[in-house]
Amino acid sequence: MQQLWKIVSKGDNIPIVIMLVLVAFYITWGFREARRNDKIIKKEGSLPAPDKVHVWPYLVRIEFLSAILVMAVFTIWSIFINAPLEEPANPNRTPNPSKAPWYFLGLQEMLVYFDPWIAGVVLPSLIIIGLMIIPYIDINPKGSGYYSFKERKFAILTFLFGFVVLWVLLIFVGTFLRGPGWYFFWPWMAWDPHKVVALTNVNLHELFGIHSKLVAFIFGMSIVGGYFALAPAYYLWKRKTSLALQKLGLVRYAIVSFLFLTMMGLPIKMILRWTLNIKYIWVTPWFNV
Amino acid sequence: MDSPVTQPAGRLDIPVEKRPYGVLFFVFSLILALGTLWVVADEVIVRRPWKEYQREYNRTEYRMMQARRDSLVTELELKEKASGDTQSRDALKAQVEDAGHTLAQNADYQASRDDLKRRDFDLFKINRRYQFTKSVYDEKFYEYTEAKHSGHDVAELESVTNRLKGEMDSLLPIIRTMAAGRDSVQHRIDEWERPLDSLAGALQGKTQEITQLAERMEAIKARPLKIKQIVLPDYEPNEFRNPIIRVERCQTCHLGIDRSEMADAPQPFTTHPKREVYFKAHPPEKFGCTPCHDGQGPALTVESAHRPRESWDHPMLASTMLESGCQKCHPNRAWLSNAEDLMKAQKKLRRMGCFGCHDIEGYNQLAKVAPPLDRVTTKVSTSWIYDWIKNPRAFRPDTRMPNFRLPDSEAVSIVSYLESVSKDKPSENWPTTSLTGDPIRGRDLTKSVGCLGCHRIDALAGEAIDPGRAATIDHGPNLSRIGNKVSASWLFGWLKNPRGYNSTTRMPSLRLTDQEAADMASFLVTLTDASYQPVPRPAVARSQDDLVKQGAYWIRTYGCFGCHSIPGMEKEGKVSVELTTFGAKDVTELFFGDATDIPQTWEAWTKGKLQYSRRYETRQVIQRMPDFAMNDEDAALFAMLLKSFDGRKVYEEYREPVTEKSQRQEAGRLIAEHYNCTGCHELEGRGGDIRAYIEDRGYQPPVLNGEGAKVQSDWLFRFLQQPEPIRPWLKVRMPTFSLTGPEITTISQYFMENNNVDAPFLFIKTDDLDPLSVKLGDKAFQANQCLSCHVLTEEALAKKGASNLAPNLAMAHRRLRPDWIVNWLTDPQRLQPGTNMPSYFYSEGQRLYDDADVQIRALRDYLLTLGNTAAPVAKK
Repeated sequence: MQQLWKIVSKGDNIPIVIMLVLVAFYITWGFREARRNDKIIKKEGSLPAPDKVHVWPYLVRIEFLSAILVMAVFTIWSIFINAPLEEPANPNRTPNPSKAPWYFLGLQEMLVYFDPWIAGVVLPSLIIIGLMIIPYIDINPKGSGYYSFKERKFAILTFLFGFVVLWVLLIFVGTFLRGPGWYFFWPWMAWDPHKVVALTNVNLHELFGIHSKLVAFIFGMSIVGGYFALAPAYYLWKRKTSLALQKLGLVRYAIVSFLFLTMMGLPIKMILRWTLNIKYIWVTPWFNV
Repeated sequence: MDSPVTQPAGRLDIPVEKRPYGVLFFVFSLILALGTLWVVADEVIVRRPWKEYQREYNRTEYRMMQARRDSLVTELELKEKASGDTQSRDALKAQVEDAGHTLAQNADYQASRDDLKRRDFDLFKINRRYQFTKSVYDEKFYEYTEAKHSGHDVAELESVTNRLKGEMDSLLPIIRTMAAGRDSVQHRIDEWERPLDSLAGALQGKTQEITQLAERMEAIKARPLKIKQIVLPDYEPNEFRNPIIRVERCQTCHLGIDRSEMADAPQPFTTHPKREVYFKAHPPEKFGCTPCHDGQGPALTVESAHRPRESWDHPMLASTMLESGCQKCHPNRAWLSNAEDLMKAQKKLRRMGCFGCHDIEGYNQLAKVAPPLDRVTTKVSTSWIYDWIKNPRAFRPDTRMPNFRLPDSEAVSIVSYLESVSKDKPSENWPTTSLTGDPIRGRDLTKSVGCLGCHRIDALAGEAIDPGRAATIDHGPNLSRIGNKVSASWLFGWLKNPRGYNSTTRMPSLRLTDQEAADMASFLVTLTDASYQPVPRPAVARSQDDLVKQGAYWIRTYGCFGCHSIPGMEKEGKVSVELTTFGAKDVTELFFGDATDIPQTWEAWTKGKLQYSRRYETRQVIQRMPDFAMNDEDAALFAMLLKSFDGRKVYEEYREPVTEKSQRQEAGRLIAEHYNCTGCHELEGRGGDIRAYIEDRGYQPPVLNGEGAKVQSDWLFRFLQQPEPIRPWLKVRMPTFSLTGPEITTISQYFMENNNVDAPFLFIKTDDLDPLSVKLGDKAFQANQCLSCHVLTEEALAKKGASNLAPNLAMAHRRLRPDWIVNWLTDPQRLQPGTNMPSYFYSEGQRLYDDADVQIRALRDYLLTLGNTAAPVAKK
């Protein structure tokens, strides 16, 4: 517990603790609003026309007030919490654990489960591309300018999973539960630099007794391919009956489903690692998945 | 669009555009404004604790000066009261005032002063005019030059510059005349003022120190509070190998370190406790504090500057570790004054032979510390070897051989290997004898001939006059139980010819006769301990070949060849880790094993390892390092030394320069240490341990502090090769060390450097000596009765006692340096404090005779002519 307090009270980590609280607060807030609106929509059929005011000066003055408050808070903050400086950099003695800046800890956590090429390059690029194309694939006009859950279930659940679970949670894990050697420590455990953990990971094809590299390659490729083939399969199955699919159209569906499956691939790989000690599913000379 | 701030109920019902925000705006702005003020106060006051330290220091210093001034004033008043001095301060003050009045009423004086003022102003004006003209001229001349260079028309500029130059030239003589006129007026005024000035001077002289103190006190009051920062440019490379500036601010609070009067002030103002010793060579304004003390130099709070190991790679050294800081600039010295602990530790390291198993930069070239084992079975029995390697300290508690804690089977196999490679005869010309020794004579001889300079023999220790010193003698093995170990016949051979058994031994030959050697051997074998019970060597049911093979394996595993040269193991490397940068190791790199009862720090780990080397062994991690069982003191010393092996290299400017002199001295010190010259002789003020056993100064070995200036190098060379008696009555013998030529050269140079002598060789042409001077010297020689002490007969010895006898002067011409003879006769006590040589010619720096110098030179000339044949005889 002493260890936990040491980590939580560290100058770098206080903002993360605050962020966790804020995320929880705003999600709850949003859901409360959404539930209220959903009730009204269910009763009335639609929300009453919104009351509008000009940005200038009515919004700007409130923003200005907030700016003053934030400045005051940070000014006083600086009295109590010092910049978390460490010893001069020394290439011969790097800190253990060496941690990325807090906002990248999710990425660093992914490195545990994926090839650096996938976790460090492909997935981050896909995240950025995915965020960029949201306006083009999200053609649902509902929920714009007001809170609603029922009208945008898929979008909100996907966002919550991708952001809260995969991003914020992994930051939390990386900050508070990853200790020396990037080993996992529960909050009540002391961070022992000499901790030893059995590392006995195997590639998936080895579990099936496949030794030939070529066969293993084809095996892994078919598994990964099969996973991504779920998207067209679902499309063929539902395209007649699902209004949402028809609205989305084939191209948008292809993009959304690819990104969605890729995102879901991360927790699947994590679970495989925890349960079956799977190192890689698809081993190639160029990259591993 | 709701504000997250709680508002009075009903506020949310007001439309956004009509909601008032004035109060919120006021409150937030107030918080921001107050917060800003708070931050400033925090920054200026709370986060600058050094300011209060400086204020406190200033108060302390002020009070000290005040006290000093008050005591001076009281002293002066008392003096004036006691003497009724007409020149008292009050009288002087009155006189000064009188003189001032007189001058004020002098009309001529006043007129001259007015005149001077006027003239000064005129001079100022004309000077200014000259300056202005000159600056315009310079500008025009620049334009003229520029125009000329770029090919423009310069006629007009030329005429302008010429005109300006002419103007300046015409002003100069006027200025000179005016200045002369002004000076003459000034001179006249000075004449009038002179009596007044001298009175004022007298008054000031009386109170000068008081006035100065008052001024300094004022200066303290006006002293601004500021950070005192020292910058060491290009001190050391950083971790990226770029030179960095080292900044430190220790003296912002430690203000009194270089002020002797602050010795009793409280910390942090106290004078540096070793200021006198260290600051001359390490002025704090150049070296600062952290090169020796480490710590976070730029920090300005007590906490962060001194705290151990957090956010700083080199936290402040504990006082017991301090001398490890010397290594950075004085690496691996054989001797460094004022770093006694470090030197002690380094000497111990050289003697314990840590470098046999560990690579340690600066030590790797040293010879193996233990005897070779190529003939070991001719010296000791295999059962003795077995017992010895099982637990060396059981046989000899103070041995340097560590305990490997060998299981029986390993010990047996190692003995088998040694047995298999050992020759069966010491050497071809190994001395043997049929004489019977007399232990009584042997005892006396052992005690007097010099063995005790290197060896400890408990049976004789009771007779030491200085038991404390005798107890520290450990250059050679402790011989208290030697009779349990070796035979009289081996001892005889060894005493006669040590190199016949071990060609690299440091044991010298004492040129013993066969009878003497037999006597000593017969005495030494009586040194036994009946209580000593050797561990019997168990029988092992394996073939001899197997045992030998296994023995080789275990010897390779434990690295016995690190200290002993063992046949068949010549090409083995070092068995353990390098220690060159051990001091820089982070605590996380150290393996604590199951030792949970000690703090997880570098110091604790290191000391624990040194005290019991297998301390961190676990079921998995087998440790081979033998147990040195160091006591707390030695462990602390070695931990300090190991701390100094941190691989840090400072730049040349901060390192002690390596000069020819220092190199020669260092080389000499190492040889002197190797052969333990200081066991008998005092060198550079240290050593002479054997004197613990010799009460009569006349029988003690000579002090060699001034030997370089005293003796001729070629004599010394021959003497070290083959010693000849200088004081034949001495019982302790200068041994024959069988030194090599280069070794003797090194020693000779070392002696010379100690006494700043440049030239090793000199040539004395006795023919060229002035016969008159020689004759005069002869007279002085007789008159001063030199031969009453410088006499070598048995009767004289019996009559006067050894301490009143002096060396053979017949050797002077080939042994002594002529300059030294002069210096010696001038002041023997300076060259050798405590000598019995009287000072005939000088007393406390005063000449006793007018022609003392002439007599001294004459004596020198006479001595140089003496003695190619026999000792001089006294004339009637």
